[in-house]
Amino acid sequence: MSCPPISGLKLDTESKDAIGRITKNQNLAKLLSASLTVGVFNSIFTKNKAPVTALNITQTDWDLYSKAMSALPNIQKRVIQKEIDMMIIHYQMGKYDHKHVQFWKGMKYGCK
Amino acid sequence: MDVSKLLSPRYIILSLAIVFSASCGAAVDAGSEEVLEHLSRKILKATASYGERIEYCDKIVASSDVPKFDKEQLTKLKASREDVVAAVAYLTFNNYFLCERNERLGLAFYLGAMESLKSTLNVDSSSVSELQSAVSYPSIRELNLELDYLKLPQSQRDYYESIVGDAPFDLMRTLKKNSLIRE
Repeated sequence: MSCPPISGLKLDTESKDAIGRITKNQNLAKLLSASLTVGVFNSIFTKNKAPVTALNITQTDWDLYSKAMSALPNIQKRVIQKEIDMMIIHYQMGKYDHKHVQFWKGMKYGCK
Repeated sequence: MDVSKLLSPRYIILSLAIVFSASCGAAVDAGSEEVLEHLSRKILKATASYGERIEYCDKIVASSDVPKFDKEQLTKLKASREDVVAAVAYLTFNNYFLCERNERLGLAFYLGAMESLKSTLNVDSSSVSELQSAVSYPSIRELNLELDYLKLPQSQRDYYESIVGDAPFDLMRTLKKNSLIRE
């Protein structure tokens, strides 16, 4: 869907809060992602690790790691979609504002 | 730096354990370290399963017809626009939850296990609880949607559920198809 220009939109408290939660959720995806990848370097520099004399890299381990990393965008997207759906419902059920409705519709589908 | 160390899956799993730890290089005994590694692996697996399930549920939403309510029936049931929107709203979230339930609860379980062992394993509990609240638990808004839905007459709820079923569906397309959307 194409997104119509919205002029003079002043986000109300509910929308601002939702955007705050969406931003936080994006940070959470980074947190989980970091825990799966960046820590590799931490472990190298951790001093109290006994030296590993034999390294066995199984395909199962690689598959698990790869699948977990692939899952993160889906999980993040789902969390954000829920937030957007909730805002769409909010403006359909109670307080109606055309500009806010258009804004959250644009957020849901993107603008293509 | 030994490059092969970077490739070790043991270090990859331990990395997850270490980021969950309260600080870099925090002291955890060898036995607890092994438990943390084991639990971290379970979280990895649960994360992968949850992501795959979300994709599966999204495909159902994309490929299914949206529910269509009969206007005459709604009139008979004295269902206002707000009643129907409340029902669609709640059932959107509920049906999606039903679709992803096992995998989402599985991830919640292991995140909860990590939280419960935080003292023993020296886990950074703030990171665990942040993940839990975002991924695992319903929000207050979702719970309020459920409360609003439960206040509807049983006859209405029976009708909506007979039309909607258990499968996840698209909120906006459903609102549009049933002329419920306010533009």
